[in-house]
Amino acid sequence: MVFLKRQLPLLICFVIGTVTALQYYVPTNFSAEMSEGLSNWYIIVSMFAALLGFVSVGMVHTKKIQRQEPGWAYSTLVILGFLAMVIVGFVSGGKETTPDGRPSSYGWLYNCTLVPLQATMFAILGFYVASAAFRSFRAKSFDAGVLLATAVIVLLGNVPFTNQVWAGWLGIHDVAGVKIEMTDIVSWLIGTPNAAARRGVTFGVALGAIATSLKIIFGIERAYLGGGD
Amino acid sequence: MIRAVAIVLLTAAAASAQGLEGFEVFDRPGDAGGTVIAAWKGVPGGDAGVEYVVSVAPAAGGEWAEVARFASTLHRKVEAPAVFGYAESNERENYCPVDGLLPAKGAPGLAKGHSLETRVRVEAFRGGVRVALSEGSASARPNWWAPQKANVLVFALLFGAGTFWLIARARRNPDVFVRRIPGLDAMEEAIGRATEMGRPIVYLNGLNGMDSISTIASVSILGQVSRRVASYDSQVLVPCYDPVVLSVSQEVLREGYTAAGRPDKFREHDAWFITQEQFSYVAAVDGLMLRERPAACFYMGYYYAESLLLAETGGSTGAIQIAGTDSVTQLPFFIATCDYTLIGEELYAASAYLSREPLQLGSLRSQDFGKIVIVAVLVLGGLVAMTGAVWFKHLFTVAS
Repeated sequence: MVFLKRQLPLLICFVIGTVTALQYYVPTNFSAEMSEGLSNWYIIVSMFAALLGFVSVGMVHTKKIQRQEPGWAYSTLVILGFLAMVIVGFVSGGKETTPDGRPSSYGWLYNCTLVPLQATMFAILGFYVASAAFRSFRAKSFDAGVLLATAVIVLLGNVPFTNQVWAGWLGIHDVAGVKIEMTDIVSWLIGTPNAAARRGVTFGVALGAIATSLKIIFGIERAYLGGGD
Repeated sequence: MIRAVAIVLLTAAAASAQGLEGFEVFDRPGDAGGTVIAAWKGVPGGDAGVEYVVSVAPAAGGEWAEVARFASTLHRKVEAPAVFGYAESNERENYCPVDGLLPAKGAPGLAKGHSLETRVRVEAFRGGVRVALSEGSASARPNWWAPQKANVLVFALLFGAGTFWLIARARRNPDVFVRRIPGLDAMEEAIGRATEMGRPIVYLNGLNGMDSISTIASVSILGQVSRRVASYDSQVLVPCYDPVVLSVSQEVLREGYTAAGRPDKFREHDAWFITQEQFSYVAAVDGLMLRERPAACFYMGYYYAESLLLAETGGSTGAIQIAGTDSVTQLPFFIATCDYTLIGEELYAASAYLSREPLQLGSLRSQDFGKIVIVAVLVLGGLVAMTGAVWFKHLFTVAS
């Protein structure tokens, strides 16, 4: 039992992890086909896990309805929506359009209910960006002041009108004989200090990912098997 | 009469055509097979105004077939550093890859990826007159080693060896110094706060599957969090985006409660699947936050556009929010909205930091040493670049 629960997964992880890492250095077709095969296996296993997901959704919401827990009406909607999509999907043969090119009932249900709802959620992001920016840009310290100044320059630099004011009206595009546009300043901010910080994070992430991969391949990190050791 | 003389002269010129300098035909190194390369240094008398014509024929005999015709300014060796390296002369010398040599499936007597011996002929014409001609033959075969990736392998081996050395050291001397990570220290506080308030903790694993390192790191942190939650008799809710992550999370939660000596407190449905539609998932989690009013929200793993939607909603409920992601584009949103943010590699360090296991802490130190090495290389590279040398840059390039 311990072998099946602990040692076998660790062994599989070691073998597959080592082989997949070495595959990067082996350019043969065999190597590429093996990598593709492993990816396909992951997809197949994921499909079985998807069944677990459906069962999980059903169990959680059915239990909520049975116990009449707070918000159980939402669970009813989830179950009804789930059943409606499945039934209509079967009736439409899983196709979004009919043979004559018109949307099927499944396509209509998807494109006229789910897509607009998701677009609405996405649209809220615009308001959240504004509120998050408001909180971040309050110049309470020197660092926050630098952030605010940089943000203002980048925001203004992306507005055509500001460029017009900068170059046309203020005439300050010529600094020490060098023609500098507002967009040049923005490009420098994004391409130099910003890119440097991003690359710093990327280096750290790469090292962390390699260290974590090594820990997983050699069985030092086992928490993903359940438990911390 | 003039025409006849011209023909005689052209024929004589063709007959006396010299060979191309340094001509060679060879199998392309570091590929899956099917390609040979003809390479040469130039034409006697210089290649100004020269046009090359490349033809192939089976070595066993048969008609020549033209496969490429190009001016001498094209197909320079500098375009293929994976084959010819970075020599300065590559800017003046030419090559031509001959692809598609693999026979149809089932060709007798040939292993997969191997081609029959193929003759390659390169002719150089100047003003319509052939001035040089060379011929060679080679067969394509698959290679088991990509030499252009040797630098990556060397770095990986060095970093791996360093990691294992530091792990072995940490095993001998478990008292390893690790710098403080405030975001991880605050986790304990957040779990305690949830216990005091009698409210749950919402823990998200991100939107990637178990094939993502950040998700594995997130699940590892969940293991540590679940132990503390179990020992404090609090509750952690884990709405999942991916069914595989769901089953792993359930198992991790179960083990966490068991390790804390509270297996009876484990509720399987504290981790559940929601959907794999990005914004539907966000809507469900936001709704959960607004209904449950969690005391703490943990966002670990990889996120996309939904990061701000989740963190802003969590913030509006008054929860302590701790995020950890290696998604560089989403980091600013988490920093703006969360109380603590684990930046980049701190996410990977979290499991080791929380568990305080010597083996894990050793790997944590290797990350820090790796960063020191990278900074040193950056400084050295900057100094070398200032001298105008480019060889140092090539040490860190995977040639194509």
